[in-house]
Amino acid sequence: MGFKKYLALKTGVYLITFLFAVTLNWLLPRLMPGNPIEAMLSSNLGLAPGEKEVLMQYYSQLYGLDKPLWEQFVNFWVNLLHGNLGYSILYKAPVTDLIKHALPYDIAILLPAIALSWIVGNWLGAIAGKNKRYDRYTMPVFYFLASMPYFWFAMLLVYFVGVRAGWLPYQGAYDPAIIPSFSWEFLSSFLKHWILPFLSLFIVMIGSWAIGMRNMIIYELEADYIRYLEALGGSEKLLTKHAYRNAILPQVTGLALQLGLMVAGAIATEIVFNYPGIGVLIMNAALSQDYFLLQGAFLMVVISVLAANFLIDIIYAFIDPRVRTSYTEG
Amino acid sequence: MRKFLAFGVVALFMASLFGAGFGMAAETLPRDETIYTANSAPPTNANPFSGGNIIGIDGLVFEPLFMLNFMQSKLVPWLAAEGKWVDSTTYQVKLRDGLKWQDGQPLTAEDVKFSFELYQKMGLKKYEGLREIKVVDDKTVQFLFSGAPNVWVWNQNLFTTLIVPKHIFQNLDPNKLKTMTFLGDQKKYLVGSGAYKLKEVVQQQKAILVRNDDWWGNKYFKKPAAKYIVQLYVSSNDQAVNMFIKGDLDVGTYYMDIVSAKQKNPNIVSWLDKYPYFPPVVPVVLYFNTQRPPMNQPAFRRAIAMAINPYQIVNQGPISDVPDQTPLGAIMEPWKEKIGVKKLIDQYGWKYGDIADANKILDQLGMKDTNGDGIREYNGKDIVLKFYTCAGCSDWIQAGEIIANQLKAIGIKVEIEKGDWTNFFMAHLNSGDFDLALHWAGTFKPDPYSVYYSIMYYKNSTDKGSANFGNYYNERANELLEKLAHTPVESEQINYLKELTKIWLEDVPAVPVYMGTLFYEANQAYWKGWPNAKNPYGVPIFWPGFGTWGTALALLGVQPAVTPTTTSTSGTGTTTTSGGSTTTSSGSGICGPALIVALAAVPLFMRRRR
Repeated sequence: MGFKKYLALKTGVYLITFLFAVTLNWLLPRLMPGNPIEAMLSSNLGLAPGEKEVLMQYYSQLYGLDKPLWEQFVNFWVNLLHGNLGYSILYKAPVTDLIKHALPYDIAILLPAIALSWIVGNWLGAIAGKNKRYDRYTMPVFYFLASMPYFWFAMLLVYFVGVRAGWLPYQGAYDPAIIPSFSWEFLSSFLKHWILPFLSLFIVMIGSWAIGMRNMIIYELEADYIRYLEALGGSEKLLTKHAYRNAILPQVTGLALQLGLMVAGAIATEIVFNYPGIGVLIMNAALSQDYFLLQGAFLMVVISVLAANFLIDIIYAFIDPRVRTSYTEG
Repeated sequence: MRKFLAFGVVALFMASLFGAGFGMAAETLPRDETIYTANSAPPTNANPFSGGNIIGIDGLVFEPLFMLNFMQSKLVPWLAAEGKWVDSTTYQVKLRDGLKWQDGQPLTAEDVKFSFELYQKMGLKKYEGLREIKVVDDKTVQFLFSGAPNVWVWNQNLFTTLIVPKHIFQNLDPNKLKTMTFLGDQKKYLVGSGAYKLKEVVQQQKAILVRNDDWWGNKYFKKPAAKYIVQLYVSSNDQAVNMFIKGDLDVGTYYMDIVSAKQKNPNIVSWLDKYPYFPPVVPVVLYFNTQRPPMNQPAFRRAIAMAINPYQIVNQGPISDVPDQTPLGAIMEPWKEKIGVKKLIDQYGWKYGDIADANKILDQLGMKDTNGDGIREYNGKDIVLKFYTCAGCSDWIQAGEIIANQLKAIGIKVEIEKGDWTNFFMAHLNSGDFDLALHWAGTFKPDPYSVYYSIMYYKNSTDKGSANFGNYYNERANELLEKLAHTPVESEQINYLKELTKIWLEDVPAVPVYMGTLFYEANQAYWKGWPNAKNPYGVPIFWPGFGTWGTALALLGVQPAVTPTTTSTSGTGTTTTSGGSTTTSSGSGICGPALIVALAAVPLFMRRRR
């Protein structure tokens, strides 16, 4: 019974958050100064005398920007509930199409990078937390990695591994002469192009996970329950097991947030490697006030962050007995 | 548990990877039959009407009645064999023989009528004064106007209106047409008349055009040499430079240090074979806010024009060439000769870099430096002019700093204000809240009328030339523009243009400070005969939307540099053309990443029991 109530409460909170966040996503781009249509046309060099006015009217009508703001807001929700995210001003294509074709590439890079760096980082951090000698020389490395900007490390990889050594391709998601297909040729080309962008994220991410884990492990190993267990004669393996379980909890939350933000793409990596993805789309949309693409992209972010958090809330109830009891007994 | 997690992650990754490329045919394009170009925006839309972002949809797939050769400011008959004004209100077009659509149907006068009407119905164009489009016979169309129309605007419509097949587009709702992308299922409607068809668009990555071997134009023009034209999505200049140096790109419009690029890859060519290499097209002009004193005085503007030294700007500033004193660019040389621009400049113009005379004018105007701070005063206040520019426009900032220095010599202080393009720079220009600014929106036009109209026409704050940022107003100029607009007779046009040029030189609504260049680079390793200054048959602009401005002419004109060898299209031998050395050193290729992974694994062996 308790768990059901817990679920219902959480769902309600998330629904309100969702409505609020989506409304803000709709409103904020429109509060930016300037008019996207005007900006688009003022950078269009090839217009005949008088053509600008005609096109202003055409595009304002097309995007419904000639209507009062409240009507635009109603239209937005009506379209959204029909699954229509609108038509991008900048790219002149349905927003759903844009996102659908860009997102897989980000996920292909980010999901393994986040997940593997989480595993490796936690593992290295846990070792560092237990072993002082190892800690002394790995911590500077972790701090170095964690404070390194993604784009900088990516550029180092491009320059040293890609350009100087010529070991791996560093531009695009696959060879420009290939048309994507379900063939060995494409897959091998894709994998070759995948390695460097993946590494640029994976290695940098390890640092911050490891630092977090190391601090948690040190904290847990000093906790009373571990000392008590040690006094009872528990083996080191047992001590570590208990400490690890407690230390991993905050890291799980961090992982969920990272995975949730995955749909916002990796802008720096995409730019440096000229990798297709959604990050650059969002950046350009923001720069040219593409209301519809911004709305659509942030809608994805809102949904996935909320979903990840929701999932974590549920998982917590399973992996943390304290959370479970607080709800089942309260 | 951990193993399962890792396995799950790998499985998910593989699934997403396969999902990305599922359902497409396996194919590699042969390098020596493919032209690679690139754009800084991804291909997402092939709509011929509302400005898709695929190079060649206009011009190569769909065709206009006339093509523009922007570099020579002249129209090239394309679908039309000829077009002329039979009287002052009737424009008649005769189509060529043997025109046909890519599906084999003949292209007739009905299609032309339908297309022009469709543009109007969609709200994309308003053909001012167009009363009726009359199909005289299969090959003749007459456009009937009520009253004499603006012939220059009409000429622009001739190359910006694409002819679409009536038998396909009449079944489509004009309202739906506005947002169709013509990709995926909608690709079947993309039946043009041109030399290329859209083969495939890998969304947001590349667009592939394939030659239409059955093109009507093979009879009139050369058969196009390239089997495929691929437009890649390359967003950064640095990436484009790398690709040009490696030979992965054949042609493009990207900024690069062309001198050093040519050293690294001697196959790279541009418009000129000496500095500035890039094609100089139209002048960048220095606008004055002509409604603010003292810039409302022509003599003051003239003094500033005299103080400016374009030679110094070209030497120390952005890549450019020296302009003459008119806003008409290098592309309008034929027009300029007819107008007699050189003589007019000698007669009414000024001398650039003439500090002494500029000082004399300012002294005569009574703007003197009385308090000895090096800055002249006007009505008791120092003359301080604010120069507005955009923060990312490094070429304009550079030029602005040089101009500020040059004006210091005649006792005028210039302060440079920077901000973002739309909400700062253009907002200030459009609201007339600036003193000085550089721009080339008014000069980047296909004909001299449009240049003068956009910079000099002014009726009121809403009815004015699109680039008349300084709100320059001259009643005589308005009159001349009005007359010029409505006469198709060249001798009359020349007379009006002469007088407009004279007004420009005397009144100085703005000062040309340097001849701006386009960025253009082509690679001769696979394709040769790219358009250049000696053979300007095409236009070096490889942006979407400029196809009928002459990009199509350029892409149709190139020739293979090497005789094509037949390569199998499905073989595995032709895999890697990019990544150059990847294939040769793939043995050691895995070493780098492996080393990094191995380093990360070191702690495993360091593990010690507590």
